[in-house]
Amino acid sequence: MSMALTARIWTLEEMVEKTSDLPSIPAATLAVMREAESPTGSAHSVARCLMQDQALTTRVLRLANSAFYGLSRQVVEIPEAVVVLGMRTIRNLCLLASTYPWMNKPLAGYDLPAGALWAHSFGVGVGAQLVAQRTGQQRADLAFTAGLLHNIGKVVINLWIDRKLAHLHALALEENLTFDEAERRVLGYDHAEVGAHLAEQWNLPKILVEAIRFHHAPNAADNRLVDSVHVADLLVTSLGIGTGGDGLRYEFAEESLERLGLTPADLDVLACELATAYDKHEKLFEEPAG
Amino acid sequence: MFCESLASCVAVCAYDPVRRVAGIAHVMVPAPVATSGDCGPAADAAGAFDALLEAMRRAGAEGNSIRLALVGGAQVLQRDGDPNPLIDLGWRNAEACLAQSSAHSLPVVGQDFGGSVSRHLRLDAGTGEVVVQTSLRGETALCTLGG
Repeated sequence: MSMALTARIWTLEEMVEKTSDLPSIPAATLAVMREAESPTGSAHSVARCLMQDQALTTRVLRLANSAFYGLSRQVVEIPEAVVVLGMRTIRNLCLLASTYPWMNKPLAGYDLPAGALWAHSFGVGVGAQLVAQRTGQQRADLAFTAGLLHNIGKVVINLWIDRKLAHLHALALEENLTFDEAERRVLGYDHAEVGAHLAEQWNLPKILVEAIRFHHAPNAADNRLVDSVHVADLLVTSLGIGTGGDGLRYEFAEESLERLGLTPADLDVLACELATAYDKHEKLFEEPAG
Repeated sequence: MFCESLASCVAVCAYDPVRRVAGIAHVMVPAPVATSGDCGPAADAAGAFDALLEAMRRAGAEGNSIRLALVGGAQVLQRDGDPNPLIDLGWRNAEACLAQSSAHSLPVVGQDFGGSVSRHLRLDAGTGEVVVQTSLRGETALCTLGG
């Protein structure tokens, strides 16, 4: 089959290098992530890192005061917010505030309108957190982070497959490929690999890099965090939350359920719980009442 | 009336062409599940059919005039083409909705199930026309529930 997409192939590194509008995470957020995980990190040091960035500080305070947390009184300073909500929650709020601007944009290459990638990523974060809480095999806050970031590679690939979605679909249908296989066939790599490469460039922890790289191939990693993201991705995609043109054209590894100690029947329960939790978490973006 | 981004869920489009009463229910799971929180009474097929039909009757529809179209039930990719009922929520949702249609003796005029695609649908409350849109096929008219 002749593919218009194959006219010029770059290596993954070249593609990332040539992408002028690369997603980024502010230095203050990366510093907060490091401090929150460091054995020497403290509420004071996390607050100090965050306050280096005034715009981020404002956005995190707005999230901290959202209806979701239902604080009895408004927090107006970051040190207080870190004490009230905890370092790990503040870390995730930094990440939400930092990724929203570029995750909320439309991705024509994946037939995702504005807000859809964000909704899907946020949903997988919430779902992975639910799976982690149910199985008790990983930290729920880390599962949220991994879920939120799992599809960052799509933001990069989108710029290169823009308006070529039909070609990828045709290839996938003709050769009975999953969508990530079609990406690899055409580009030489898929959105998961590109995302992992970006995460490495940001110096994110190895466990998060793995969760991004193997979220469609959990059997290649011995990492329950990967399994949690894989299961959450299936649920969120199945529920149609930010599901794009690639749809459900992915394989599901049932082994992930076994490794997590879940049964197929648990999927229905998790799907319902996820839909409820997703609606509840959306309150994060609502202004506090009163 | 619209239903956007349907994947494994099934949209039950119902229409009474005589009284021109239309409604859509969204089925998330085939059967009720015991969750730690409130999943809503109409998340499963039986609950969704009951809630939809009750709402339509309240709006003036007659039960024996109602006609249905069922859309959604997408599945993760199966290499051999056969759904895996254990994990395949979409396939089970579709089966459950067909069973509910029979149980309520309601004719299914059009159905568009399966595949690995996300669907958007539109039900015209004036004519009963059901239009389905996917990335692959674009917009296509599925059926008219208007008689």
